[in-house]
Amino acid sequence: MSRAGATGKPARRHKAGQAAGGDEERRPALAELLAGGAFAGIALVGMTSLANNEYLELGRTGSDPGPGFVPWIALTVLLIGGVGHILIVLRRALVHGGFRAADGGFSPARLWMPGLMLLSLVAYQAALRPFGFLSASIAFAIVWVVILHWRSGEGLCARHVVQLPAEGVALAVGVYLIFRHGIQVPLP
Amino acid sequence: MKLKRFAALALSVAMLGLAGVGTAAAFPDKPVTLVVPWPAGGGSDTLMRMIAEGATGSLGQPVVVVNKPGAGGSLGLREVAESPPDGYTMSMVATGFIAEQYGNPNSPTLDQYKVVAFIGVDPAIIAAGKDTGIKTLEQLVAEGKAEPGKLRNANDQAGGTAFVAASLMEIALGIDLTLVPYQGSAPVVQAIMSGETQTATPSVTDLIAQHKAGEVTILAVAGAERHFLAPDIPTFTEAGFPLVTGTVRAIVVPAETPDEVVAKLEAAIMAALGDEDFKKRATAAGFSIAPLGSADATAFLQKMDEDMYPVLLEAGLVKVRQK
Amino acid sequence: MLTEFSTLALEVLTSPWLLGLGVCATLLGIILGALPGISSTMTLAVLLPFSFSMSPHVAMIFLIGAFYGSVYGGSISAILLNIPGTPGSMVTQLDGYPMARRGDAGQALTYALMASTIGGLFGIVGLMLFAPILAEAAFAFQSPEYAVIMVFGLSMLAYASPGSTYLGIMSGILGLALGMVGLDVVTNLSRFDFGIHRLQGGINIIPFAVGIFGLAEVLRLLEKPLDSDRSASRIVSLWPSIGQIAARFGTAIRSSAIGLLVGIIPAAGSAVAVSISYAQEKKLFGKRETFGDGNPRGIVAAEAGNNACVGGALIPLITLGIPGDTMTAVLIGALLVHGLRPGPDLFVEHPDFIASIYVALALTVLVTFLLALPLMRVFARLLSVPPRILHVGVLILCVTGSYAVQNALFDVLLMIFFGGAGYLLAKVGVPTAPIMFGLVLGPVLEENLRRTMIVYGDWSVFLTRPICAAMLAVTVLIIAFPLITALRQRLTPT
Repeated sequence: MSRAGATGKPARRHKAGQAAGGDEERRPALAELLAGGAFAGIALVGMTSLANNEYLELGRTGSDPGPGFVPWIALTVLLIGGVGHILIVLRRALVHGGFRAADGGFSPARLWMPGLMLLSLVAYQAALRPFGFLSASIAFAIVWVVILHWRSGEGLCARHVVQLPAEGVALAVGVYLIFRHGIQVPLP
Repeated sequence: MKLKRFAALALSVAMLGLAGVGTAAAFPDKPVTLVVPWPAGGGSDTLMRMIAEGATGSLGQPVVVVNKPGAGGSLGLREVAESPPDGYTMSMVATGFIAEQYGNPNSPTLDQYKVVAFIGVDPAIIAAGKDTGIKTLEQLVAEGKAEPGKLRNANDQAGGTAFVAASLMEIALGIDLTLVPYQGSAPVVQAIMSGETQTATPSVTDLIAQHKAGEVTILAVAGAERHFLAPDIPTFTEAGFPLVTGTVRAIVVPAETPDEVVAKLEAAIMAALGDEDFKKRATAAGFSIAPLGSADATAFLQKMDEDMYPVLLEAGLVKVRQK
Repeated sequence: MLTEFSTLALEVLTSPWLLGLGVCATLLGIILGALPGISSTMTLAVLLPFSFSMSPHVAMIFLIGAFYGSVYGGSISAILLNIPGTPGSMVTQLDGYPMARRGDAGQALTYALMASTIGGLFGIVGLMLFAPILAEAAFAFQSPEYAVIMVFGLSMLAYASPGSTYLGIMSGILGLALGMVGLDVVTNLSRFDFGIHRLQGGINIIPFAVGIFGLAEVLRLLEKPLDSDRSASRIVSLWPSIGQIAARFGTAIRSSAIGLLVGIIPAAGSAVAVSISYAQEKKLFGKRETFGDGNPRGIVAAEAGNNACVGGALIPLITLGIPGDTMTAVLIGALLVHGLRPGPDLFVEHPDFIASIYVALALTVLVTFLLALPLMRVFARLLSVPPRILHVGVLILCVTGSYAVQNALFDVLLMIFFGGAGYLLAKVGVPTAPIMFGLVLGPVLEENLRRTMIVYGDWSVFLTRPICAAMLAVTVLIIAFPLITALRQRLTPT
């Protein structure tokens, strides 16, 4: 039995307990392949970094196993485990006749809003130094209070034109006051 | 309308340029930041907060301590080295910084700073555990020479203050210790008391209470003179092994900072360091205060840099910027 | 000692000024602890200058009050907002937040308070009765033992993670690798920095936890239209039944014991304590109960653990003069300013001072309990604000809190990165909580493992030291047991 098969035992036990329905239920989702791929990918990136680190071996003195010791072990297990997971998922797909139909977890309809949020957070972070914490936060808060209000499906009435921006400003100013003046955090 | 705005912009740019010339006269017209490149709550942090409090009075503007920890202090130090050289950002440097220059390609170097003032040296010590039976420096040397590498010393990470002190002591005493790294001074004290190591090289304050209780014996202090908390413990020099080392603390600004601005900061910090009330509190907390002005401080740090280089080279800690 | 204790206790209880100070300090601690990014250590560092003008006894009431209050306060933001206020509360949210989501925020807060109080009391008892013995016993634990404890903690976590066990183990190892980012403790060499000098500082646990829990949760909620159904905001009941509380009493005691013991270890800290106590309860009850989806036992394990840790951390301080963690290091700073130098002689030379520590801790446990009871209702009401305000508020707090930990904008970027990564990993079925455990326990494991090798130079030391060998044997049994049972099930025809 391969190493991957041996380590995969707990996973199979778990899945077996979960699958109660028909064959479709027993089929793995495509997303499960991604999980294995992610681990293997991270391991490879980390290994490249370790292998190209010219300084690491300089640090070994005496009986110290060195700064690369634990990372190499961890990444090797991660790589084997990631590839092993892919193999297990493929085997299950083979046994049960293909992959489960996608459940829409990765459809653009669900991903666009989180994606937009991540992008706007990166922009917010980048704006903190040039524009200062207060202005950047107010802008971010107003925009997102409005978007989330729209997203909650409640209608827009006249008072919202004032209320929503006011909520955004209040949030940003409140956090600013507490952190900057309450606890003297040197916010940019 | 557009033209008007443009004119206003041009004017403000010109004003900024003028302000650059006139900083010295107006300095400081806003709070000054003192970066402590370690987490809040440590020894240096406490001392810097006391100094900032004192300097605020004589500078006429608040001096605000900001902790920018990470990577043994080099993240915060680098940020200060790259900050605008207008005197509004100062930083504290300590012994570890000298070593970091040669160990970490990302660390700033001493010539990227102007030294504003020197605060003092907290001398390093060497202490032996109760179970070792070692009571004097001579016994330690004898024991160390008998079996090189058998004695283990508790210190901080490679290049840290206690590590450098231990390396210097190895050379001065002509013995060979196994240097065991710990994170911070509390685990070092725990290590020597539990017997995991036979010796330790922290600061006087870390072990003086344990010494008085008889749990450990401080063998010698690496100061120019005896320490005020431990007047009965000889210095290395008295014991016949000339050596002065420890936690050196100084305040620096980016190298291009105008001299007039540095002079104002220097005056404010020296005034804070000279304050009787400050001295009393700092001494009670165990800090050695031996202020030096900008010129003397620069010379001191440069000499330290030169003296430490061969030691670091021998300890295998010079990885970049070989001389 | 008892006479000093009772005299001082009487003095404090009859002095409105001292009582008022204790209440204020505790309240300040609860608020600062609840703010994300403001850890207990920072709370103390911020309040330290105020204590300079107080006498040492009064300073202790002030600082220990703030210290203990902040440890409890961390659980509030963890339960209500899924962002940990302090590193010690990051485990609380694993079960606390799901409970709050399903409308049991009030109960979750009650469990946290009850467990905190039990942990706090346990800590006091341990501190008062067993401090010298425990401090002496702690010397038997050296680098090899610490390394084995971490292996023990990691292995228990791996086998009891929610979701797939296999992927849980992989996540734990991923966390371990993440913990290796930055300068190595032993050699000071940089690893995994990918040329980004900011990464040399390593991955701070707060931006990580804020991202992978707080931000990732908001991202998940953004997938679908926000329901204005206020299920989360209804406080069904504040009080669990007596039976429900009693059923978790054992957990509170076990976790308190672990918190107390881990607190004694210098440089281990409450994050390690809660990781291990949570792991233990998962191991014990993982078969009958699920963790990570709103199990009160998870809250109890974490909160009892981190509050008992306070008492534990004070043990080496008063018996040996060694700070048990960064918070007690700040306490020592406060004492030094008054010329009091804690050392092994403190018990003999300043018994009155030791008594003041006991009184301060006892007072603050009591005050926290009495303060939090009425406040809980107010806290829980936080959730009834419209989702748009709640979410935007959480996002701004995520950003501010991540920045405040080290005053670094880079940490905000890290938080956003881990938020996105955690969101995606959860989407492909990878449990993210074990990553955090790996990140906390991994570096401690590596440091002690390598130090063991430097000190003893031989792997056999792990088998020749009795405590090490015993703990390793238990670890192997724990790992092997499920495997053997699984194997038996496969071999016996059903």
